[in-house]
This record gives sequence, structure tokens and C-alpha cells, in this order.
Amino acid sequence: MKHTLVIRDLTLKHRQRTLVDRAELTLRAGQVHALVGASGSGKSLTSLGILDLLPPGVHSSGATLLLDGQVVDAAQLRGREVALVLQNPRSAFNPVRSLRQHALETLQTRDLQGAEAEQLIQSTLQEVGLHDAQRVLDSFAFQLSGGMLQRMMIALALLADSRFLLADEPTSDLDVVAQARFLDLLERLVAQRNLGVLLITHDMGVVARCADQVSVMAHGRIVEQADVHRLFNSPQSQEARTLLAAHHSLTMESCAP
Amino acid sequence: MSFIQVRDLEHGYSAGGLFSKRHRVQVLSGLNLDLHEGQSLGLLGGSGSGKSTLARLLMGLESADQGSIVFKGQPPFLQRVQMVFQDALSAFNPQRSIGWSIAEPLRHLSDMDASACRARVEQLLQQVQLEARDIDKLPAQLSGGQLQRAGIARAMAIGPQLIILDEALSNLDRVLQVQILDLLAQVRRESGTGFLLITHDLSLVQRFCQRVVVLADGKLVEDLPVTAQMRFTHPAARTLQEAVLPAMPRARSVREPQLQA
Repeated sequence: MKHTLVIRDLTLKHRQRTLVDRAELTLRAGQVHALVGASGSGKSLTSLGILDLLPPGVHSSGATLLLDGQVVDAAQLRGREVALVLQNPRSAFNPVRSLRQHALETLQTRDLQGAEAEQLIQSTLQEVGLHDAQRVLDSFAFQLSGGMLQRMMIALALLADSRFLLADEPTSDLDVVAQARFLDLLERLVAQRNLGVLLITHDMGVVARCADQVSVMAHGRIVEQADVHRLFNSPQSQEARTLLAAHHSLTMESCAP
Repeated sequence: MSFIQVRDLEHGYSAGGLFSKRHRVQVLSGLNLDLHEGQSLGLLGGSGSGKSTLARLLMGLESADQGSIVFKGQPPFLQRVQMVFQDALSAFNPQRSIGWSIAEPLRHLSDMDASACRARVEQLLQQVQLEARDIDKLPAQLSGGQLQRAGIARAMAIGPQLIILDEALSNLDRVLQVQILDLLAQVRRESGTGFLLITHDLSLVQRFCQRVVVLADGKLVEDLPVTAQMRFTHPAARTLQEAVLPAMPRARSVREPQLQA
């Protein structure tokens, strides 16, 4: 399978307790795969488990990762083939390093430096909509808004030339306007750069807006996988129905003619 | 009847650190608002539009640079107006039980004795669908959604006429948001409490409020009754309306995975 990232048999445990049970996911280049579920269903752990960035005490028992059909190790993927965007961008940056230093560090993994690196950084920041590039690069994380930091996280993913992006609740801390702009950007990159995205969210509005495939998670298990239209029109699992009922009770009034 | 009357309100802050140049940030300028008794009013605005500043001024947590806020109800003020904060965890004393915190307004604002307080707290916990045994738990032992409900119980304790919710639902998932809005609607039906729901999310306002005002550039730029067909006209308000996520997937085909990079 070309241009895919397949996760098989991802099981995560804390002591005897199973937190994620045999999760299977397939990400394709140029598609958005949404992973939805209630708070505490194991969505975030799944994304951390894929990159083997688990919190202390949680361990994975032998997941298989296939990149374009080849078995790969999580350590080979993270920060290179696969980038991660987190919910709280402020804590994802080193507080005592400027954003320029973050960008240069990322480019070092590709052996790029000097004028070439500088030029690439400039154009990538333009691409994600950070037009005041010099000011942003000279800033530290605490000096920028949440929306700007989320864009910078995406920029770092592009600088690493990642083909896949794992985005864990990337818009939950943003207001609706910043959220809409972030999703615009994501969709543009999927179309133009052929990026494959795993989008973790609890908001079915975000799913309706930009997902192609959807996996529904409950109590650590993936209980349903479907394309977005089938999920919205005929949800099979109880979990999907609960999420959709909450979503529709908030949106149906506003979309009445 | 107007319950709280806000006239020509101005407020700002000084930004910048000790060693850098000080900048003056004007947050509110010339804001007018009438809050009516028993009404659910939605206050909508983007990040940084001054929503929380307005809430803090209404509650008297800060005093305004200019302008007036007149409370026309029966004093004392805190017996009539209560507030629920966005960050539930930091709004509770971490060393005291949930029951102790919920009873705090009763201890200060009523003459109930200890056993009456406890009975009232038990009734409130039931009303917000928390369990009776949660009364002795510490804030850190509850989830975000449970703690936010405890915050609402505390605001309801003294039976106020108005409860201000400052982005109190924003950190919760959709299922919990709907549950809490239904709970608040029930409180409104049963006791006629008015609400000021502060949010950036129009869909919450449409579900819960009777009237909506939009804050932009330091003033209110829209003031409308909430209907399914309502349309804003101010550009900032339109931006908020257009950013609401769709109810259903668009009628596009699913993107085909591209086999050539």
C-alpha cells in the first residue's frame, strides 16, 4: 500500500488496566481521518501510542506500524515522517527558546542550515498564514496567541517535511473564528501537500467540516469506522449516536432555513 | 424591567512588563447594556473582545475607569447575582471539600445553620446530577464536567436572580455542554433565574438564550432576540456567525487518496 500509514493492534496498558484495546487505524495521504469519542475514551493516548510518546507507567504491547507497507519503528517516524500537533500549544514549545530556534532545530534533522534554511522558514510561515514572520520568529511562546502557536506547530511539521500529521484536539482551546481559520489551513495543506491527517476531536462539527473517514472510540476500543457521510446518515454504534445527538441538538436550530 | 443598567462603560489595562515600554490597551469604550430580570442573555464575542472584563466589572471584581453600572434589584448584590468561572479547578479551594465550597455563599449570605446548609447542599447536588457522596470529595477528585456542575450548584445556592456564566461551558465536550444547558433551562423554568451566558460559540446561545448581544471593538454592536433565522449585520458579528461549524458533512465526495505524490 503506497502512501499509507497503517497502525495495527495498538494496545496500551497501565498496570493491569487496558486503556486502549487493539486499535487499528489507516491513514492515507491526502485524506483527513477523524478519531472521535467522549472525554477519557483513549483518543489522545492512541495518538501518543502511535509515536511511542507515552506518559510514565503506560506501556504499549507490540503494535505494528506500516509505512507504505513496510514495518517501521515509532522512533523513525516522529518528528520526520509523522508530526504531532497538540491541544495546548503553549506547553509544546520550549519556553526559553525563540521560535526561530525551534524552526532551525527542526531543519537540522534534514541537514538544512544557513540562508537556505532561513528562506524555507520564511516561505513556510507565509504558507501557514503567519505573515509577520520576523516578529513571530523572534518571539517566545508566551508572547503569541494560541491560534498563532497552532499555526507555528503546523509550520514545524511542514519544515520537517512530514507526510502525516497527528492533530490532538488542535482547535479545542481556540475561539470559533480561530478554529475556522485553522481548519481552512488544514484542508488546504491536505489538498496541496497531499498531507495525511489523523484529527482527534470530540466535536462532530469539526468532523462534518473536514473529515473523510471517521473512527469512533469508546472505552479504549474503536467501535465504528465509516466514511463521514455514512456515519452522519446511519451511525451504527451507541457512542456515535450519542455524539451526533449532542451535536444536532446544538446545530439543527441554526441551520433551519 | 431593567435589573442592571450599564451606561458609557470604559475600561482598559496597561500591558507590557517591568522592563519594556508600557502599552495602554483599551478594552471597553462606551458600552451600554440593560439586563432584564429573568431573561437569558447571550454575550457573544471573539477572544480578546472584552467579554470577561465586562463580567468582572458587572460583579464588582474590578472597578471601571469610567461610566456607571447601576443595580436596580434589592440589595445585597451578591444575594441576587452570582457567577460561574471558566476554569472550574482554579475556582475551588483545593483543600476543602466540594460540599464546603458549595455551602460558602450560604454561610456568608444567609442565616442557615449547619444542618440546614448541609440539606441545601444535598438538594443542590441532586439538582445538578452529582452524587450525594461527592459532598465530601476534594475538587481534584472530580472530572472537569463534574466540577463545572459543582460550580453551578454553588452559584445557585443562595437562589440568585441572575447567574453569570463566563465561558463556563467552553472547556467541556459537546455531550456535557448539552446536558448542562438542559439543566440550566430546567432551573430557569423552576425558579425564574436569569442568565448571562458569555461565550464565543453562537450555537450555545441559540440553544439557550432569548436575546443575544455581540461585543466587538469595546462596544455592543448587535442586540437581537434569538431566532432560528437571525442574521447579524456587523462585520465582526458576521465573522462569528459564519465560523459556526456545519451540522452535516458537505455534499462533496470523500477525497480519494492520491496514489502519486
